[in-house]
Amino acid sequence: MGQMLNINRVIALVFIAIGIVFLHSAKTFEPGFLDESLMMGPMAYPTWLLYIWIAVSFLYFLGGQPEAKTEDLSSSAKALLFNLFLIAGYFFLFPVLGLPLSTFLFLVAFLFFEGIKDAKRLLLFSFSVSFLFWFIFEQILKISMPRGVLNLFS
Amino acid sequence: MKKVVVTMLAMLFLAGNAMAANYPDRTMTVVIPFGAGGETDIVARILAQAIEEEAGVTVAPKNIVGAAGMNGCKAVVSAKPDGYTVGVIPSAPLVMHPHMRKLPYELSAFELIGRVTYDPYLVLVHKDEAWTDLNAMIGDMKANPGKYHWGSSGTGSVPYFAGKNLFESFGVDAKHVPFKGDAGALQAIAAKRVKLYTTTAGVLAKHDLKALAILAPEKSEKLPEIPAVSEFGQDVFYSQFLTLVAPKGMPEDVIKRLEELVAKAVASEKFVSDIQKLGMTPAYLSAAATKEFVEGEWARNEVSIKKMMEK
Amino acid sequence: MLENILASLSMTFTPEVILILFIGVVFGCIVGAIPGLGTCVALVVCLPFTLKLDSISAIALLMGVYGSSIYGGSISAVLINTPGTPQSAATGLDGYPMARKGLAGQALGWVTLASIFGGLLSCLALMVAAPQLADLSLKYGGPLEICALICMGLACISSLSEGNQIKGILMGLAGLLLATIGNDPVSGEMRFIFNTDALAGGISLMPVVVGIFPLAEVFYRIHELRSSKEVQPIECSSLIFPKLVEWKGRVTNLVRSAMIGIGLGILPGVGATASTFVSYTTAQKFSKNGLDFGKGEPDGLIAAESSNNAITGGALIPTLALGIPGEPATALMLASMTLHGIIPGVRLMVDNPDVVYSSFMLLILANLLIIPAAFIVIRTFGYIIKAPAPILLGLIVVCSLVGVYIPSGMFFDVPLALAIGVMAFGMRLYNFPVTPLLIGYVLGPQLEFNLSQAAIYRGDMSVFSYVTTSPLAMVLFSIAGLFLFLPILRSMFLAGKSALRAKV
Repeated sequence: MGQMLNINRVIALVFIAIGIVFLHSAKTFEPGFLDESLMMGPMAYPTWLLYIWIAVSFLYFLGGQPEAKTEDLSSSAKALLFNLFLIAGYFFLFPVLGLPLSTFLFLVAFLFFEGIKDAKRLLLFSFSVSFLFWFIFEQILKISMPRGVLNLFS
Repeated sequence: MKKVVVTMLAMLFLAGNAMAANYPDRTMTVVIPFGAGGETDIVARILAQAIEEEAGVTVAPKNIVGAAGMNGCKAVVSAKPDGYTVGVIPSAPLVMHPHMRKLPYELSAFELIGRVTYDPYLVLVHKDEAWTDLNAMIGDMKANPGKYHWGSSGTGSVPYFAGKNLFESFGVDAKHVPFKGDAGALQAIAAKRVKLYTTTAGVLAKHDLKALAILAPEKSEKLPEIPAVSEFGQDVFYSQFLTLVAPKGMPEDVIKRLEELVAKAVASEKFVSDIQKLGMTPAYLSAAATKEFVEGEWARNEVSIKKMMEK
Repeated sequence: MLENILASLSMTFTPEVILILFIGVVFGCIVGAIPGLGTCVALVVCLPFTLKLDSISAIALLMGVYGSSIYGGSISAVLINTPGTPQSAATGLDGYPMARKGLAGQALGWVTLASIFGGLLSCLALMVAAPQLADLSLKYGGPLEICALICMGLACISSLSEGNQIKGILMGLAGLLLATIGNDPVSGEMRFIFNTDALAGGISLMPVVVGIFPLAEVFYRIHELRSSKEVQPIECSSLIFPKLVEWKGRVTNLVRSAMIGIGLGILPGVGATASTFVSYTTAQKFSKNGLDFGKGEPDGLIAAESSNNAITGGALIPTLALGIPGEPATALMLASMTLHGIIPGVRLMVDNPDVVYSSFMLLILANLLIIPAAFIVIRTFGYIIKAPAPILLGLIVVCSLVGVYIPSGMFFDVPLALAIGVMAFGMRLYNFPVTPLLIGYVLGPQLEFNLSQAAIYRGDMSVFSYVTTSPLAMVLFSIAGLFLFLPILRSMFLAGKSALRAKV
């Protein structure tokens, strides 16, 4: 039968918990404006879904076997976390610095960390990609991107 | 090596914005609160092009979609009031939604620059329907309560309120069916699943429809054979209008210049002919007149929506 | 009629129009192939140009971009396992395994031919039977039938996650639930937003697609690079078309999948994604090699690709014949035509027959022009994917950012995409299939919408008597039931058999 609590069972419990939170939100929902002719209220369909979700999660819990093959993250965990923060930083800096600058900084950091140590190639590539994107989007296509607080290249 | 890096950074740092005295002198953004290809979007893009011709700077449309226009409106309200971000907003998010639920913006947060189009709604039914005029339809519906279905482009849209108000004023019980936008409702009429829909006159050419009444105080000059709804005894007025708005707090001269640009753009030949091809009517009102008009609509809708919510 | 056809020939075959068409095809192919971008972005970018061009050129541009962007999405699905557009998700299921086996060129060959066939067949349907098909769609496209079709699409989940069904079903449900967050299109109320404004618009399509495919793939590759796995590099120098003999036994699949694509494309709202999965699942049931699906079986590729290009013609049928756009792309075409004085709808054939015939020819040409465009794009792509992994991955991240931001203009979508990407990566680690999430998410809103409408039409009738008013719906619901339960029963049966054998 396996241990009582293996990874699949834990996941199942998390799912059930999420289901309960949403169900609570659904049950305590107060519509601001309601049309009487709508036979199904705004929360009817989600509530049914949530019941099914919790039921299936429960079945999943009951049948949960220890996972046969899981990926071994030991060698890559650090890299994954670092890259996650790097990408998150890029995404959040994007409205602050504008597209070209944040892209440049991201690419330099990302490529450097991932193993491209040749500085010339690194900078050249990052610069040309950032410039290319800026050029194509702002000038040719005239799609406005966030200017950033520094209001560069208007 | 260092020099290269510094040069690169310097190039990327090219600041192109000496604070200029002449407005507008750089790219303007027109926020469109609805998706690309929709009615609001196309009109906004045509307007953007017209303003671009007048102002001589690039006017870039930007779609900010979501929550029935709420996201776009919020973006306009929270933009910097320097005159470079404006929005094109139709009637529903401006004068109807604020009465339905709490929103992150209010009418007073907008600087109304001008009204661009104004099209009263028509009461539309399938061409093959036996009803010859509004009275016949109302009579039939009163005799068969709950039998007929009518369509809207979603709860909270202008056709929704138009239909609801129409039926309530005449004391008729008909069932509302929501659709996703005009397209769904028109398809349902063609398939004879719903009997009635309300929208602007642009659709008459494309589909097998006939108009039983126009929801305005008087008949329209373009369609003189359609009777006004007041002739049947009730004042149910609904229309689609688009306004150009900007965030509050802009300097006076910027507001003036913007107003000028919009007036000229709406009056330009190309704009007028393009809008008419879409089946809509350019109907410019100056900023002051727009404010009066919009506030009037706001008050009118407040009364009718609050009444509906009490039921 | 002959003068009309001749007139439209001269309208269509001008160098300017053909050039614009070709540019549209290449552009659509490229944008569709870049992970993170896709049909939405391609069309938004083309909008300003369509307003400035004359009518035939505008139609040429839009048609070129529309059809080829779907094809382009399949290129990246096969080569990098990140479908450029959600409609290509099913292609990657068999395309990427084939590429991993070193058969990338052949996979793309199948994809190209199947796409073109699907596109051409739907053109044929459009030309020959548009008004009749449009009428059919009106009659049979009621909410109940569409609900049944969507249930069929959802039921495919159980086949797609064979062996892993509980997780697949959970993911499908998760997708359905994810779609309920935000603005409810039926009642206008805001659901599950937990008092934040940002979620009020709901979770839009781009963050989900970009999160699940490109971003999760980036994380996965970073993991692969560091762990000791043997990664066979994918090479693709050019298209390799399948030989005639390889088509034996596959032609029925091809035709049937195209028909499914046309049929579902006619019904506005069901969507391209659903139809590719329905076609894929149907092919799996009928094909001799059904068990090999998911491991690099050309039948799966054919099924997915043939139907997803057949949608383009199918979606045009209600657009041109009734003036009712089936998809956002066709809405744009509609607006563009109207601006040029061409009113689609019941009178289009009468008022502007030459435009109609031109459109048909343009669509046929657009499909045929995919071949040269494909050679160009695939060769370029083959070159790019030879770049060192960090460069490729960095590019994918940048394209993802851009692709999420452009269609919606909301900054919030960007971190949302990242969050979904992390979640999708976690799912891959724990053997949760991602495709059902996509299916549930894409089909959820339509399902709910049509259910609500059906509930209103039902009024006071009992559920049973209402369902029996539509024989088509009953048939479709039964098929959906079969799709859903057969694989589950089969898995249980196989599990039972192996347990018995273990005991012996």
